[in-house]
Amino acid sequence: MKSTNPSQQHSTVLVVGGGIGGIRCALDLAASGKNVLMIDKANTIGGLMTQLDRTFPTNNCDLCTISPDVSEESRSRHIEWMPLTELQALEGEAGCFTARLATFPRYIDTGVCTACGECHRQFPECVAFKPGLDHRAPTCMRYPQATPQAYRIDPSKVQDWDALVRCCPAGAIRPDDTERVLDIGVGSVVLAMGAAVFDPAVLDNFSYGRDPDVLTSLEYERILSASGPTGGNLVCPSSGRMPEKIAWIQCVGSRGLQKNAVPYCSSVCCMFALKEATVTKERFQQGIDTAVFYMDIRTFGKDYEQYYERCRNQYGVRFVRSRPHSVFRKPGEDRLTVTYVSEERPTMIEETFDLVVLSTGFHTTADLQETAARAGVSLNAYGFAACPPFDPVATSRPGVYVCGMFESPKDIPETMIQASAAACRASAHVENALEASPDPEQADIHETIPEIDVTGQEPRIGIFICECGENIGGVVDVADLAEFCAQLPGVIVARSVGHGCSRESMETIRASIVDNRLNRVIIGGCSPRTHELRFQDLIRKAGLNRNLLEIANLRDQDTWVHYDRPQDAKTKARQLLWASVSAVRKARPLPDNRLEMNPDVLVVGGGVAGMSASLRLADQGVRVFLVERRSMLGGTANLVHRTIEGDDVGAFVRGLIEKTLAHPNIQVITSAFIVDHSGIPGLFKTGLQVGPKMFYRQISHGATILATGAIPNRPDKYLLGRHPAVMTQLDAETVLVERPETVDAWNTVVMIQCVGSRIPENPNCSRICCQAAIKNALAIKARHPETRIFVLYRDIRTHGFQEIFYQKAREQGIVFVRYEPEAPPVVVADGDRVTVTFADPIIGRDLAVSADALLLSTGFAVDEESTEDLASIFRLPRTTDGYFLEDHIKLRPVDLTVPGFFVAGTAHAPKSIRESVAQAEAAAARAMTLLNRKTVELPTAVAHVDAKRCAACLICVRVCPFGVPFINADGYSQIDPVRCRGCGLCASECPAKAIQLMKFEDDQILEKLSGLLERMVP
Amino acid sequence: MHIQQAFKSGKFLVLAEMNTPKGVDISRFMTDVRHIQGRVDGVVVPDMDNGVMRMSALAGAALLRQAGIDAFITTYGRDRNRLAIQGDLLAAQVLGVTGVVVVTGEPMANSDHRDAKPVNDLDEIGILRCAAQLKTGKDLAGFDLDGSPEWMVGCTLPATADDAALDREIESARIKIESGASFLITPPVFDVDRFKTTAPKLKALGVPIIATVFLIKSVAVARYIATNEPGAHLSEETIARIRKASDRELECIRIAGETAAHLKSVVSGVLIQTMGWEHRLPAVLDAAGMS
Repeated sequence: MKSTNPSQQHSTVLVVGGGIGGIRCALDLAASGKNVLMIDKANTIGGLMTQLDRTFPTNNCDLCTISPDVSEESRSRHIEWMPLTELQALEGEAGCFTARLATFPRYIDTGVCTACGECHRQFPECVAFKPGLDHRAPTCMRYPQATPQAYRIDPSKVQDWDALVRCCPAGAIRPDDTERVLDIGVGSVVLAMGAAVFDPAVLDNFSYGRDPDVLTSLEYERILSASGPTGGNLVCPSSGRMPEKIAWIQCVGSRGLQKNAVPYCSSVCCMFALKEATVTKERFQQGIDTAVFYMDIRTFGKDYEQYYERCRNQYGVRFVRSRPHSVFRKPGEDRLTVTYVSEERPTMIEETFDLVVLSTGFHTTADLQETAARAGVSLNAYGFAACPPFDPVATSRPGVYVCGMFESPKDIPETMIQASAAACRASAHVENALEASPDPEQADIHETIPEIDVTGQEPRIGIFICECGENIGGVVDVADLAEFCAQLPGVIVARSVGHGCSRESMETIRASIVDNRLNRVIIGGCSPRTHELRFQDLIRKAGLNRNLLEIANLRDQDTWVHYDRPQDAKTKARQLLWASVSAVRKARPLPDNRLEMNPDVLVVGGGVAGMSASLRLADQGVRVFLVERRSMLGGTANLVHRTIEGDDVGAFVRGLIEKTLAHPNIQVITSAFIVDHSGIPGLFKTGLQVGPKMFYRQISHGATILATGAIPNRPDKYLLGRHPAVMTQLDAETVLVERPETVDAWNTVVMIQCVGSRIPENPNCSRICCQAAIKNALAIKARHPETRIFVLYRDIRTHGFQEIFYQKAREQGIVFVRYEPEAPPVVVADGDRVTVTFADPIIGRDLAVSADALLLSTGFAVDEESTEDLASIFRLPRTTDGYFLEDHIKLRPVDLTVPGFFVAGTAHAPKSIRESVAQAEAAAARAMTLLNRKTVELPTAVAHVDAKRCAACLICVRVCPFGVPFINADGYSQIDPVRCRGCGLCASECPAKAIQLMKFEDDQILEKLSGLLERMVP
Repeated sequence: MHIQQAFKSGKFLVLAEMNTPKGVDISRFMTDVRHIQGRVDGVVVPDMDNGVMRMSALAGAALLRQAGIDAFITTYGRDRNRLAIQGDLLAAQVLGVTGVVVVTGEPMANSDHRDAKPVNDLDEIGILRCAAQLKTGKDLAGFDLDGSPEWMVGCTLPATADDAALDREIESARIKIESGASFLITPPVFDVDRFKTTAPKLKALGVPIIATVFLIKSVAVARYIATNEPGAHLSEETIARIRKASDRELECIRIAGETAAHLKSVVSGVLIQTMGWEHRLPAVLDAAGMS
């Protein structure tokens, strides 16, 4: 562990909590040049997410995506971290805090421990932990890539310390280890402590804790996980046989349903259950019956509704709208009995299941509240951090920020967004670290490890094959593959390396390269998309040029897709590796090329998100160009008056506009349109035309933030725009604020939810309309308590703390009636009133209501024309419903697929103002991490023209989609390596074969093909 | 000057607008110039009208003259007082740049030098009168010049929302012409058929009319013009045509080319504005069938 430099004491950010939120926050801070100290009470970092099996919407194993971030190897020099440590006190003020930290003894010296596991084998009772059903176990190696790779000893279980000390080959065990207390100066603090899972053992009706086949959703996750207690086999804990019927019970411990339950909605459990049900069917057996018992399905996140549709229609998961009464096992029966009442039949139904999964919610704990008290931050009524209304990651104490579940229950993408936002805010209180090298590992490499010149050397190839847990090793025999590879020409080393991306394996590979004087390396493992850079860094550390690496994607291209045909998978794995051997033989070192980065940022869109991002960047000294197509700032928020909590949106937006216009680092350009764009991250050029005369102007910038928003939807439905009594919720809000007396004449009001959302043309949930309807309903009631209000809905999605307002609305007598999309309400004009007819499922017949006002919850839609335009100019992909598609829906919700582009606000997906602010701050933080690199690494895979062969035929000039090649003064085609995107079109079209794409030259491709098509030796 | 004869002869004139670089690297500018050499009758060089600082128009126009192309510079009162305006006009004459278009400078709000102070010593009419005065061999203060300049001065017609506004602007154009302007440049024309109905009113002013052809670059720009400038008559069909095109940029170029070609029978000439996309001028000329 690195010692803290006292001169930089207050330039450190303290991150409390090492879950994904804390990790994301720390990584962003470090990448933007700040020192970070991360503490966690647990043994290893990783938090809750590392216990999950797969994550929606792709049902990928995201452990593989996040583990590089968590692993020791990727630790930046700026991040110091202390496990087994808690915050005891926080004195001082923003910019100058003193934090008192207490570190509990591990009884193992992590600097010496090699994680060999010997102590665990000999004294399992003192050290043992297989990450199991008991996720609360105090000692653990949570998963094979855990950081640190060290065990912990439970002293209360140790009987013979001497024997334990002797068993350790590395001599790492320290029986005299004690608690240490340390005072440290920090500039700001981020609380990322998460939340606890509701313990259903306190409920007496679900048999949890008494029957082994009743599980929480997190425990079920461990059963599905390859690194879990059953090694990824789906079995009933009671009997070890495979279940045929599984039930999920929603809202356990949430929405005030049971004893000790919290009153709010835990937000994530619906998607959790949906995912578990589909993964069960996808991975094990389509025939397994999966039933989800629910009240409202709350799939309000980006593209979640489509996932729900797939879950129902493609996978055939059963959804039962009911709150089960009890779960129990009748004596002598194999199966559990679930009793419930369905909508169809009012009598009690008994149904049997092999497994029952309780979708447990999240809540705070005494421990968390205690830490919050020590950090000096106030909590809200539910024990979560209290945050100002439009400042989503700020706490009551300046300089202390919050992210993730500790702010409110939320899913992974929202946690990631808040984590980056907290990094943005926390970094404002600290200076950049003294050695400002943003990427210190890189700096180390370039300065200290000379690159070995391999030109002219015979290939000496090393092949390292990952098992990747069950992912590869469970389908093909990795040792056998290694044996096969060893016989291929030029191969010096061929071996399996377990998890190739773990610290231990990385070191093994590096040492092997050096010891065997290897000059070409092949990794047989996972996707180059996530891991190529890491392995490139690794071989560079071993003295090899980065381009002497080849990755055979055995996992994505073979064992994942052919998991059910191991023999064929084996043959294909051999072929893939053979192709890599052939290809790597022709690999050539390519030089690195760097340019200075442009430090300015272009923000497109001047709504709340665009202004918030601009201000955060500008406050940190970044020059911002804020481009808005309208003649004024403010965007859609200009139409909103108050939030459901009663906060004044108008005042907030006016304040933002004022600050934005007055900020010396922000240039606001209104009535402006993007017309062209070129360049690479760090060196972009974007052309604008500015009204009224449409003058052209070009802006150079290093990063781009898209905050172009969405527009209020106005579908032609239910007489909207054709009858004065029919209006949208936004219209109604204006009426309530500007002409409140109108409401006095409203004796009956009907609201229809999901108008223009959750339909084939706009398949997703607009996220904000349920709370907007309840907000207006309560406002109408407040003004005119006699008004009868009917809310016709499909599912009420008041996620998180909004649930309280839903309860309040029901208490006030607002009538909520569900409708099915197949039988929507019918609206007919009746003078200045409208008659709304709808089916009431409770009384089982149609009702006709004559309404003075019909309020339609119309939600958001994409402005198709302008987003399509921007997407084509910036070459950005979009979702099927037109929103910009992020790079990774879970882990990188702010980064777009084109590097250097970030998204904020409703351009990403429908969201609230508060959520837009969070994403805007996150986008600012992500942009800062890019800009802090200071230099731009030019891509090595670029097209190169051989002047002697070029006939200046102009084919490359015409074919290039980016307009890069031109005929230069010497009369041949020239390709600027800075602008070349490496797509290879020109290389493939050039009739004279004058153009080669570096890294993919003809001889390299041909060699790879010949390897791929080589006849297999039996 | 070739262009003066061209105006007199009644030949259809093709003018292009070319912006100077922001900086001193003129290689791109000169490449673009080479590509239109012999294809246009003259080039108009804007002089930071939009408030974005760049190389002054005079240097650009002088470079064009060296390449054998007749050049016009724009001038306006926002950045210069009457001394600077007169001095630069005389300098232009000496460098062979004898074409001037008097325009209005944009407000500084969208400038890249927001804190710059506007001068506004002379308005459009004032500058036109000033140019006319210099022609007589005297400066604005009435002092004699050593050698009097010979130039051709044009003026512009601003965009208007409706017929009443158009009539008012035509009246003020009449004053501009009386003050010395010898040709008139119209705002961008998107609907030639509709423009044909207003063209007689303009022709009645008695000077050659040059219609502006504006290269639309994106749907968003087209939408903005259609919404904010009703007088431009940019139709929904045009927007739909761009949206439907597989290559939008090419479609926009075709639209500009077709517009220029249609205007041949309506006015004395066209000014093709590509606004930063000068490298696409040859393509627009190709699409217009103008050699």
